[in-house]
Amino acid sequence: MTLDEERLRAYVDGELDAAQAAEIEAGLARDAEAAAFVAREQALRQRLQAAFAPVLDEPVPARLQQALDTTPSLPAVDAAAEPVTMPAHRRIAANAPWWAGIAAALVLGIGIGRGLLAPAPQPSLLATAPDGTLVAAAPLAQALSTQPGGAAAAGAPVQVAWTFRDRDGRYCRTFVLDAPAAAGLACREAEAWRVQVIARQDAPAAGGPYRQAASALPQAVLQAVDARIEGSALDAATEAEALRRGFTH
Amino acid sequence: MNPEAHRLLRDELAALLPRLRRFARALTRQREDADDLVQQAVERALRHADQWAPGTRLDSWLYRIMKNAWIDEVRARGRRGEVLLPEEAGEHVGVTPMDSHADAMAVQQAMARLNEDQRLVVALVLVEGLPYKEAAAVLDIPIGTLTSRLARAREALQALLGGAQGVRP
Repeated sequence: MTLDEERLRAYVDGELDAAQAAEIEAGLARDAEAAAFVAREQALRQRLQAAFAPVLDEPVPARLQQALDTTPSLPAVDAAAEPVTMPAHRRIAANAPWWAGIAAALVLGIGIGRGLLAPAPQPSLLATAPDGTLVAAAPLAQALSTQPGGAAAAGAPVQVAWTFRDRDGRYCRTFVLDAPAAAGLACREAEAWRVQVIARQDAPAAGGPYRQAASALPQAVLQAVDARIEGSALDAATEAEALRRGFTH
Repeated sequence: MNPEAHRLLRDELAALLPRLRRFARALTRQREDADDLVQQAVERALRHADQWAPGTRLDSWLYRIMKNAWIDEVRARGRRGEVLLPEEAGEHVGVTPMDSHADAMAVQQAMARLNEDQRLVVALVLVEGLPYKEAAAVLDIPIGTLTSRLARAREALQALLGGAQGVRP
């Protein structure tokens, strides 16, 4: 009788459910050849595990813990001039649904929670440019192009905090989103606002009808600002002038 | 990725290091290469932290990174003409092992005689204990391909290890 070796190996590997396993075991009692096969496979598996198990008890070499401690893992911060780029397989198609921008934000680790993808009249805040980089989509881009910085009414979808110029002379603005709760930095580049970094807003907004947009910006955003800023953030008058000129110059 | 998720990633990676080292030792012929492989994988994982979704299996993601890094290294060495021999080459690697250390040596030598595809499936399923479905996902192959490769590998190991008698009491 030919053995169903694949099934017997699956049994040895714990791939079968309780009912299937019971069936095999009943068969083993009757079939000496199958029982021997299973015994050999179990012995091999045990031998393999025993041979490599001691590695688990070895002290971890210092260089591995060091690699863990020192390798930078915030690309937007550590490559100061590089914008955050979407991995190719996550680029949003041109005809993507309204929530695709939010889905993209989810990929970047903000706004975890299924509720964000539930149907709601919430337009996308992010989009991908043809070169795969993240840019602000209509409502965010609109806010960045027209909204003065500083406090905004609670519930406003976007609040702008600071405006400054980067080392290449581009206008950059930090922004805080109401939903999903996130904050980021975008810089004006060829008619678009390129999103340099976006991160979850950890601290909830302080109580009261207005919130200070500059308070409790995530570390990643602050570091991105530090890495780029030329001089100081614009004061209200200079910012108003730049707004009037549409951040062109 | 926000700082909180990054902390989580580093903590989970630290906890995974012993298993990653074990996986690397099952793959590599030379012991020194194993920790090099783990280091490469850790560095790559951190640089591409945004590709890991918190809540999904971190170990599978790391095994996949290590698999890719190892395959790249094997190809590079092939191109450079380097031939790696098992630490102690021998025709018949072990019939009656005397103790657990000697048995471990016999097993590692037998592993070294498998091809890379077979070593990968044995390491993932039999050493690391991944379910077929996870292992197939790590390797980007259908489950059927995984099980047939695994079957061939086990047959080869059974033959090399002389019927897998195991350690004598």
